[in-house]
Amino acid sequence: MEHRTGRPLTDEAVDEQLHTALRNAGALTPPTPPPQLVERAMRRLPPVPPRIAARNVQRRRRLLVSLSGMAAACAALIALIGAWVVLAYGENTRLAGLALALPGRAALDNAAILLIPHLPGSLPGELPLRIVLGVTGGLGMAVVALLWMNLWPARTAATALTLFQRPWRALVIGLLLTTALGGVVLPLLTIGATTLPGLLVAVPLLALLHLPYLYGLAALSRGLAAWNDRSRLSRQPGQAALIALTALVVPLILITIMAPLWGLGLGYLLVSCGVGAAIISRAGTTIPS
Amino acid sequence: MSSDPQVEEAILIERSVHGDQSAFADLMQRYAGAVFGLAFRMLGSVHDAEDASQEIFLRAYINLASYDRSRRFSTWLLTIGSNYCIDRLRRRRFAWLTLDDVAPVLPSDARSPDDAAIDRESRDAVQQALGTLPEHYRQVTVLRYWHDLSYDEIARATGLSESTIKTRLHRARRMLAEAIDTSVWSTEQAVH
Repeated sequence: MEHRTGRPLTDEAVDEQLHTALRNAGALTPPTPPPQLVERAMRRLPPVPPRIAARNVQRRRRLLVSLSGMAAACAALIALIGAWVVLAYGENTRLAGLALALPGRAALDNAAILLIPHLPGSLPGELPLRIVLGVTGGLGMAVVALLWMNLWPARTAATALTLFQRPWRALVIGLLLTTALGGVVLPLLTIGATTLPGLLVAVPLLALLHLPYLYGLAALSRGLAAWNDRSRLSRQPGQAALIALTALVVPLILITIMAPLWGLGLGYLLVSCGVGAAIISRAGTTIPS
Repeated sequence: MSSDPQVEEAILIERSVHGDQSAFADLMQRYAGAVFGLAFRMLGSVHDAEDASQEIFLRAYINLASYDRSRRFSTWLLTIGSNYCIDRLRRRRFAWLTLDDVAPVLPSDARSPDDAAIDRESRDAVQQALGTLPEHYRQVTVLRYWHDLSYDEIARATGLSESTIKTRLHRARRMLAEAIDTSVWSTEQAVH
């Protein structure tokens, strides 16, 4: 680099000149921090010494990694079981029959069969299949919901708070969304699932569509955990949230094993509240006044 | 307590390490301006800067036990700050991944006169030009010119070699000069 007088310029000299220029332009004047910056930052500090806080962060990180791995494993397992069901039983399973016949008239017949809780044994291997699907699906849901809670503790808390403040509106919005999605996506998925490329698109699409529902489940669990003590929402999701999540998921698994359509319906009904609250709170970024 | 600011600071750090949050609040008070300034220069928005400043202090608190006392506390804090801002700028590119902000403790939407004043500042030529720099260039530029860090300190903060920093600063100066109206650079034509 060379000055126009011909004198070579060192980095230090150029640095100094730029520094002077910035100072002369008034660009180095520091902006005034907001008056409550320290107070707000204080509210975010964990109530433990730094060493313990660091250990907790490490633990949380490890938990997130394990949960992600478990969620992926559950998804893979469900996909494998699904493939095995289709290959082994084809249209003979009622679950597959429902999926294949959804847009048509036969859907009603299948729905009627599935709505009635019945004892296992009508088709060979159906109960174990339902148990495996119900338990794996339920566990997968719980793991992803746990992941949501831990990844976005503040957002799920804000959504849970919205659920307390606008429960009916959340339910109506959630149900409307579920109905709309069901009306549009289910026929599309069924048509798509008739071809291999369609199936390849349908499965990830279905999983993607369920992510907001699992976020709703996470918010619902946090809300349930803070039913008596809302101050719990200002802390990290702890044991209470885990217990609430279990209390929601376990009955759903049992009902789904006995009567899949009832289980699904009840599940979507419950979780729709959470989805509605997520929409109202814009995924937990705002809290209604 | 001693009147020597450095000794005083060391005592505050020691107390903070043992979990005394009022001591850490004193430390935050001392460095609020520097941290907020860094975040504002890096991110270009008052709201982002406030949120980032809170996060930087939180990270500093969590990592306080591993703070190397042989380093200047301000440099260590700015290192955490600049790395966090870089992360945040990267995530900003993928808007759908930035959903980890903290909702209940978000800064309020009500705008104070200070915010308005700072916003006006954000419109100034230098800040706009700074915003046009790629994030890594912005990082070294802010640390060098706004926080007076030496090449060695920037190297330690960023994990880069001194020669890389010099190269980045050289390019950043060129880019800044190109981006800013020449009238601002009345004394600085030599940068070209």
